[in-house]
Amino acid sequence: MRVSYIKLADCSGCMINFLDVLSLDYIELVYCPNLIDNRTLQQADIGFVSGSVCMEFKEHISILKELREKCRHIVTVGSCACVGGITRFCRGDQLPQTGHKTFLPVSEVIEVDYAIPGCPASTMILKKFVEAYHKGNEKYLLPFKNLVKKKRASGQDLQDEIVSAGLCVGCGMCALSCPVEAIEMIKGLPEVRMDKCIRCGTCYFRCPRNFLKLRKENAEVI
Amino acid sequence: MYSEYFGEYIKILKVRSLKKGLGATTSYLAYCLDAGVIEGAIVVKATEHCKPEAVVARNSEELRATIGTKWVTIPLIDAIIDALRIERMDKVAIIGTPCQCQAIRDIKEYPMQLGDIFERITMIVGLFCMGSFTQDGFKTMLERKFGITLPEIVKADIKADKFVVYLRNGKIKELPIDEVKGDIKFACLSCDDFTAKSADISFGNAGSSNGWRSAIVRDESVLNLLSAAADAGYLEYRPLEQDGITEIEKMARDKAARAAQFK
Repeated sequence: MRVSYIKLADCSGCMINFLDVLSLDYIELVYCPNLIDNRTLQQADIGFVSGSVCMEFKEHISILKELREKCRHIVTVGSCACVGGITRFCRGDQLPQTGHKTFLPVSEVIEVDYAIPGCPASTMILKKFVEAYHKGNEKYLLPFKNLVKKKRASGQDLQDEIVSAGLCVGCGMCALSCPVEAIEMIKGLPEVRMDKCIRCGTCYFRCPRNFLKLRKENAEVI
Repeated sequence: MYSEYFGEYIKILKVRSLKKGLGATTSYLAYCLDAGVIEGAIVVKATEHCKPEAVVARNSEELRATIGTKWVTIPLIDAIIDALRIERMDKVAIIGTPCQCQAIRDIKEYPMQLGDIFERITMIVGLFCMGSFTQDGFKTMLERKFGITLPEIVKADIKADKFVVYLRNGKIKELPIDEVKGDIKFACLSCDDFTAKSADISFGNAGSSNGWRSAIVRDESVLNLLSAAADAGYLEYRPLEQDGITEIEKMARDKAARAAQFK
C-alpha cells in the first residue's frame, strides 16, 4: 500500500506517532519530505495530512490540492487537521513569520475522506485504521468517515450537546481521554474547564453516546 | 447467534453460586481472581449510607466486600486509573452497567487516547439494567416517597415488582416498582440496551429466580472459564428455559420502546 504523508502547521506529535505505522510490512512510504528524500508527490492510496492549513501560506494550499489529485483517499491525522485544535487560538504576530495568522482545518480547503482525531492521534488508532483500510473493513472505518463532517469540536460541544441535552450517563471516558486534564467529574457528570481546553475534541468524539450515532450509516453530525 | 435484544451471543445460561454468601456474578469473578485469569476487578462498592465508590478488588476477600446492588451509577475512572496507570495490572476485568460496558468497548476498539491502558482490560462483565439513579436523585426519592433519609437505610432491593428498603432499625418499607421508575436518571430514558450487548458476559436477575441468575455469554473463553469455575466448585450452571428467555426479551423490548419514545 502506497502512502504519502504531509505535515502542515502542527507540532509533529502526530508524525512521531505515525512512525510506528511504517513498521507494518505492507506500507510503502512514497512521499514525506520530513522523513524521506523524495521531493515530488506521487500517486498513492492514502494521503495522510497532519496539522491545520495556514491560509496566508500559498504553498500549503497548492500542495493540498496536488495531494488530493494524486491520492485515492485523504486522511486527516490529529485534531489540528480535523477540527483546528490548538491552532484555533492562533493570533499571529509570531516570529519567524508574523504574517501567518489564519489557520483552518484541512476539510475546509479540500475534500477529506476520513478523519482520525486525537491530540496527538494515538499510535494504536493509526495502526488500527491502516489495518482496517488494508483489509477493506468498511464497518470499522465508518465512524472515521462520519467524523469528517464535524469541523469544530471542543469541551464546550460536549457540554452543550451531551451533558445539557441530558444524554450523559456519567461514564467518565471524556475525563480519561482529555490530554490536558481539563475535565473533572463532579457529581457524576463532566465539568469542562474551558481555560484549560485546547479544543482538540477528543472528549467529544470519545463520548459513547456520541459514538453510537457515529457508527450509523449517514449519521447526522451538526 | 444474533438477537436484536441480546446482541451477538453464544449461549444463554442460568448460573447459581455454590459459595455461601456470594452471588452468581461475584463467585464467577472470585474464581477468575483465584485462578489468576485476572489480576484485579474494577467494581463498585457500597460504602456507608449506600454511597457507591469505584474500587479495585485484588482478591476474592476484597471482592466479597462489594456484594449487592448499587442504585447509583458513578464514573469508574478513579479505579481504572488506580488499576491500570498506577498499579499497571496486565489483566483486569471491569464490571458495569450497559452504558459503561459500551464506553469500555468503544475505547478498546477505537483507542483515541494515549497509552495502551485499555488493551489491558481483558474482560467486560455487564449487568442487566433498566435505569439507575443519581446520588442526589436517590436521596430525594427516598425522602419524598419513603419518608426516610439515606443514613437510615442498610440496603435496597427489588423483590417481585416491589422496591424494598431495609432500615437500620430492622424495619422494612416497600413500594410498587412503577412509583419509583419516574425518578431514574434522565439519560437512562434514551438508552435502549438492557442486556449490556457489548459485554463478554452479562448477568441479571430477569428470567430466573430462587438464587439463579441469568447469564448471556458472548465469548468462547468466558464459556470455558464458567465450566472451569463449575469444576472447581464455585458455581453451577444450566441452559436457561424458554420462559426465562422470553422474560428477558420482554424487559429488553420495554426498554427499547421507552428509548424510542424519548427520541
